[in-house]
Amino acid sequence: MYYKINPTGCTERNGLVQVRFDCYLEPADAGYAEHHVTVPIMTEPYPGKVDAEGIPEDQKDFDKWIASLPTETRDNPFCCHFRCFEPDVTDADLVKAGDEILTMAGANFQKGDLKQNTNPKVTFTTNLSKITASLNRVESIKTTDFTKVVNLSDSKVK
Amino acid sequence: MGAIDIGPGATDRPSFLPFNKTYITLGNPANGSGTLDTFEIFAYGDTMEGCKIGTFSGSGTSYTMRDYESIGNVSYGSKQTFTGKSCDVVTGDYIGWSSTYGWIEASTSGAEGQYVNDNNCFDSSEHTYSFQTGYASSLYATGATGATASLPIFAYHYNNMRP
Repeated sequence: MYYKINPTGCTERNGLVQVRFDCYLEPADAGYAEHHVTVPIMTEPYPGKVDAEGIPEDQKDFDKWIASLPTETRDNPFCCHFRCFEPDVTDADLVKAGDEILTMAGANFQKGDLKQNTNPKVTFTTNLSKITASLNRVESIKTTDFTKVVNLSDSKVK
Repeated sequence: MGAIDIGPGATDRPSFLPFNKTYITLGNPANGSGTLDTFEIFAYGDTMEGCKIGTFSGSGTSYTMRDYESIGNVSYGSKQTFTGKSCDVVTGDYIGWSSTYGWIEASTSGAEGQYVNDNNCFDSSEHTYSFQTGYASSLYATGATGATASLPIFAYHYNNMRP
């Protein structure tokens, strides 16, 4: 298993730094096939008629077009877990948390119950200084390469 | 604390729905009040971007968002599960979504129906929606009953300025 910090899900949330950890299985892991998917690549929009809501009018024609598209095979996350941190959280703290989250999520995935994923209790705040600090920390997280965090060679981060 | 669930289910459905709208899907309204911590979505056709999922209350064609979570991108091809969230919910609320790009697996007949607005309605105002008979979006969420995590009104409105 491995994980990635996904910047698209990292935001300031109620005064804290919310970080998204995307957890992935590897071929040797049980249940790998569920999220190892082959999907069509939409290189251009559907050329057929669509209704006012953007839905194809001829479902059979649409299905035929989908079947004609090139495909790619890739791994989707088996779980995307969010956790909130104080704005002074270090990169090393985030990597350590990611490893812990991966272990937790992996175990709960094998039990078939990702709802059991939990977080430590946090205190939300309306303090504007803290909100600003969290917003700034989120921006730095979004551009950090966490594989280069020092002294964490055993980490599963990618 | 008891278990709460909301939403018609994040499954592979026969059709899909496009982005840049707000959808409130009526299947399986919330069966308790508390906090939702796990969301499931089944995206279609391409990676969803800027996805938001929230709880909505109202009647007729007028609904107001209660709380929401920013999810970010959603991969397509398999059901995606997002845990560690904290979204307020009250008994009878419906679940809704919007995204800035991408599509969601959907039913366009045979389901409980949903409401749609062509704008981003993830704010604290009441909005008017159009009904889509038989429609459902592939969404589901679970959580626990108990006190919600809401902040005072100022912070609520401030946080609704967030992406």
